Amino acid sequence: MHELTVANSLIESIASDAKNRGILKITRISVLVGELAGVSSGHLSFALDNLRAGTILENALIEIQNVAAKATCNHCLEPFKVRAPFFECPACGKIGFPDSKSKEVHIAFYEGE
Amino acid sequence: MMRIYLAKDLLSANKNDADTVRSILLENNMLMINLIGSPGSGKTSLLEATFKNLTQHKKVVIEGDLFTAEDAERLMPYCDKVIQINTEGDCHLLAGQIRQLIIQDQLMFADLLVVENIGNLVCPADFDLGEDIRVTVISVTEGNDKPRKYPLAFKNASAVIITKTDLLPYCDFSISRAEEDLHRINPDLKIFTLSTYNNMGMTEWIQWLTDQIKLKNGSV
Repeated sequence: MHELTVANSLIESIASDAKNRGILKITRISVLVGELAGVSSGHLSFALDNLRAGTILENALIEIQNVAAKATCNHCLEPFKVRAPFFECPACGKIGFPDSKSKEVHIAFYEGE
Repeated sequence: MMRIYLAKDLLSANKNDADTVRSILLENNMLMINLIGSPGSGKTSLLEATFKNLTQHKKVVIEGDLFTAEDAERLMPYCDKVIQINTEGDCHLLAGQIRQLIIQDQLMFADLLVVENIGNLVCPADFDLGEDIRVTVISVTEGNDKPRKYPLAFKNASAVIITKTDLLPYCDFSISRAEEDLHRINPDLKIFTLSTYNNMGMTEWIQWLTDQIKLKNGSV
């Protein structure tokens, strides 16, 4: 349900940055969604489509990519791909903690003119 | 055409607010708990029973619910102040709401601030409120699969309380299985098993909580 908040924040961030740069129209947006961010790409896309009418983003191509959750093992320090629910290192079986990118939603870039 | 790299985390606004909450708590030696759990897991009953046993400390509660002030009314007799937030649909609380309430309602006098989050094991797990301690509640009637189904609610918690243990004879719930799964998800988890109905296990929880309050307010 909080995809609506994220979509609002995305539209406001890009619109304000574009205004400062004198960009009048956004043509493309790239968004990265971490696997553990608690944000569904489908719901985010739906929320954006409902909120962007009448904004500078109205006709932009929106690309949303999922970022697989990665962690580093606390014990053997090896990076590994997280498999919920247990977050265990496949090499030594000890617990790893996911990196920050796995838990974030990022605007990678936007294009405009 | 111009391409702009923003590298902006859209969840960062909440993280900044959570940091502000943390600094307010530190300045005022106040311990904050973010209490998470499914609807009906026994969060409010746990708070009632806890506060009855915690008479030495000044206690404040922020109650998060979609609608009604029923939980706030239940807790009123046992603490110094209760603030109700009705989200009218939002599935979790945000750090900005907590920051605003602490300042606006002058909650800094308390030793302990408990935020009872919206009953939900999914969304509240993703939002840091600036708390010192996150406590997740599960009841034996919910079944053994909850830690594996909702790992993030336990991964970022400091403690888990398994409630309603008086109902164990009537449920297919194994405490040892739950402990094993919980420690696989988070080896540092402190696990309490208790019943607010017959008070079994309450002493250990109250002792731990009292120690945490003392640690935060510097009296140890």
